[in-house]
Amino acid sequence: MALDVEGIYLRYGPMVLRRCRKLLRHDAQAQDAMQDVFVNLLRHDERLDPSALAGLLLTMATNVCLNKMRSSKRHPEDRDDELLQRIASAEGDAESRTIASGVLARLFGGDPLAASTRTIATLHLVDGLTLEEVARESGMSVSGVRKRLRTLRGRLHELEGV
Amino acid sequence: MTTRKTTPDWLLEKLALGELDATASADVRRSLADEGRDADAELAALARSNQEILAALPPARIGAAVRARATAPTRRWLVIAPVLLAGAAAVVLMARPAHDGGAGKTVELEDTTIKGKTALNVYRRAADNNERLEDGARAARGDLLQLAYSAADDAEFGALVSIDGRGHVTVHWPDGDAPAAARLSHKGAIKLPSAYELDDAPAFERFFFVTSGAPFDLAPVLDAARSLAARPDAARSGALALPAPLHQLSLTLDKPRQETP
Repeated sequence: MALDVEGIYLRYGPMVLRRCRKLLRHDAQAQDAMQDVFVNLLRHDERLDPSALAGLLLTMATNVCLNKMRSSKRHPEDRDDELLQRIASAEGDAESRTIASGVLARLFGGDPLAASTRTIATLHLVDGLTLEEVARESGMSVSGVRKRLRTLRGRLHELEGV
Repeated sequence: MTTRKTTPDWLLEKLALGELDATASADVRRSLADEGRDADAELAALARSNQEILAALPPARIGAAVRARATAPTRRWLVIAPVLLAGAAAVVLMARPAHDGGAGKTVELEDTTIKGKTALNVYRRAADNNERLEDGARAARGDLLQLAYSAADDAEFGALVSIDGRGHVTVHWPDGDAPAAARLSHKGAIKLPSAYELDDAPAFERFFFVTSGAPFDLAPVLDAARSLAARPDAARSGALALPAPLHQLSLTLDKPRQETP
């Protein structure tokens, strides 16, 4: 059955747009990113349970925005924004897999796949989710989240003081 | 247990949608109270924001745009490498016109626009000449196109986009992920820095040159292009639904079905 894009957008679209606005700080880019999120959702429609998509969509939005930030550098507006941009550009292509994969797997009862360290770092260091909450959102263990954050810190010395 | 400074918006959004379990919901409400925030007031503010966003970006419009993007190929234009491009552009610029004007005629780039007027020109590179393609001209997969514009004095910013028979939208200029229109040059006919090879999208390729006297974001232009591209009845001839300060020119290339051998 085709995904009810309008219905899902009606329930979740404003949340996704707010998320994209917060990360990108640019309304036009945020609207574009929001549409990207729903396009990605549509391409996974056969795997979705549309009853509880908030965590998945917020994660997908974070991932889309981080990718956009990597490709279009801009001057950071404040300390959080600077940190976010460092996180966005912290990893190589091999690490650009989406945390959404893990959430999708959890939704459908499968094993969580590897999550993006960038997204985990954003949830913890920028959004302020606790390690336990990050673990719950990403379908990982707390120790797994800690390990990934240590890996990121090892790659990006600027984050040591955070 | 780790601690935090303020309740994350992430959790507030999930609370508003009823997607936190009872324990997590109670934790968020307690956390908000500890910060001196009223959970119900925060949820009411989110509800108001929802209404504003849905009024500005209604579900039917976004749904159509998302479906159009989802069904389109992710990359359908072949951008010719700059080194090749320089050669292609040079050929266009240096060609001497055997005839002036009309579709399929070889023209000199500078002769194709009337000074002082905003114009959009599309050229097809051929083996021994370069054709300016008029509105309605025929084109086919594999044609190498060079886009060019001229800007009137009151057109300071602009963008070039196209839609096709598959409902796909392509931004040709400015390059990359630029969020806003580029500043226009007024030094005659300006070629874009890249040439493009037409893909196999059916029926038509339609180019839009959107201009304004003031800076503008590309998002409303792209939204309008996606909406129009998603309407087969209007995509070939309808106008982009743009905000009032923006002006538009369009040029459509006809792509008749090609016989397969």
